[in-house]
Amino acid sequence: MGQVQKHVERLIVRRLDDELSAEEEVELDRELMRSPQARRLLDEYRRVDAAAAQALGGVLADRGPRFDETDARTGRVWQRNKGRVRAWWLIPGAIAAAWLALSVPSPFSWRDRRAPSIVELQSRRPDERGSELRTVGTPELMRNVGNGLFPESIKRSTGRNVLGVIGNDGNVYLIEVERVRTLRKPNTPAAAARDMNGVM
Amino acid sequence: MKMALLEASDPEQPIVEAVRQGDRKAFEELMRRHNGWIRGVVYGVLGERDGLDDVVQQVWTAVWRRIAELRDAGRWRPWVYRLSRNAALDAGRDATRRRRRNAALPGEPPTSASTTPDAELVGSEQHREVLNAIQELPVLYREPFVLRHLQGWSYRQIAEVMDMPVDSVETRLVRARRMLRESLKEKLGLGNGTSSETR
Repeated sequence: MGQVQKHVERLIVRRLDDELSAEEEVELDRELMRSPQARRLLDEYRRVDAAAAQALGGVLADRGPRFDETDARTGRVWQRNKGRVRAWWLIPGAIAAAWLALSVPSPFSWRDRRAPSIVELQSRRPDERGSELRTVGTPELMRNVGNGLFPESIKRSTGRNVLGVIGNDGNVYLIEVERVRTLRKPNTPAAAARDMNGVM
Repeated sequence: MKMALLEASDPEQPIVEAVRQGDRKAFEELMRRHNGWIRGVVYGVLGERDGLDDVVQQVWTAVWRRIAELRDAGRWRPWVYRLSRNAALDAGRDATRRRRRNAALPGEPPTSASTTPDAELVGSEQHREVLNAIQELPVLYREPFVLRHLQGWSYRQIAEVMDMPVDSVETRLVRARRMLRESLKEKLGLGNGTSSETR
């Protein structure tokens, strides 16, 4: 390929990419007037571009960003959706998850257990990265009631979950849920005895 | 989506700064604005739709986790580009390994990009042929070509993100066009035996 032809080819590609200066525009127009080969090349590159743009546009249609902060914290990938996220079941699902988190006490432990949600984003600042649920206030309070012989224990934990759903419109909708869980143990002699033996 | 990458004051810089401070809303905005070209970069490296969404998600996760490592907020695009490229390269290596393993299994049909469900979904035969031709381009040429066609970026924008001279971008785009023209000659009815006159 001669230098002249290479130069013309560059000008053609630059025109297709809207990169020509005014002088180059004039130069290319002159060449196109003069050379049928240059006109053919422009036409062919135009068709290649159109076909590529169409094919790429179809295959790479932006389905909206997805992000799960759980991944950021644990490195796990919970989501493996291969298709479009459907908002019609995500929104009721997120509401149901929030309701469950608020209403169902954990039968196993005092610690907050977070059910895997569809998209869960946790409030945090950079210096808190990787932190789990925050405990607000004193986690365990002991106080004497009645005659003071048997203490009543009160445990309280507070957590905040942010549930995120992605709608069909590509927007991310956030639902913030503040949870406070309190468990009070009776001040009976049996309960006190269990506490002393370290049985919860 | 045209972006003023080389303007003196990058309009995205305050958002990037906010993300560095842990602002989730700013991060969502960043994702919304820039998901498209990151998909383009990942596709440009991978060369196929398989696993694209997962890799893009990994990229955003990495951005959120590692944004503190970004020293100069003004250079966030090349930084995100490198994250995207590396994630795509890793995914590509994994996919290649998987294919080799599957090919080694007796009785297993060989997998190829042209027979993947995604390719089937693309639609017409011509789309598939064009995508295959793009996929066969060397990564070197495919990346700027995809960015140019997917995002309509200028040479300078591509050069800045890929951290290379503008002339190199131009050269790669010319060569990508040349290769595609050759490989699609029959499919698109190009040439008719006269193309070499200009070339």
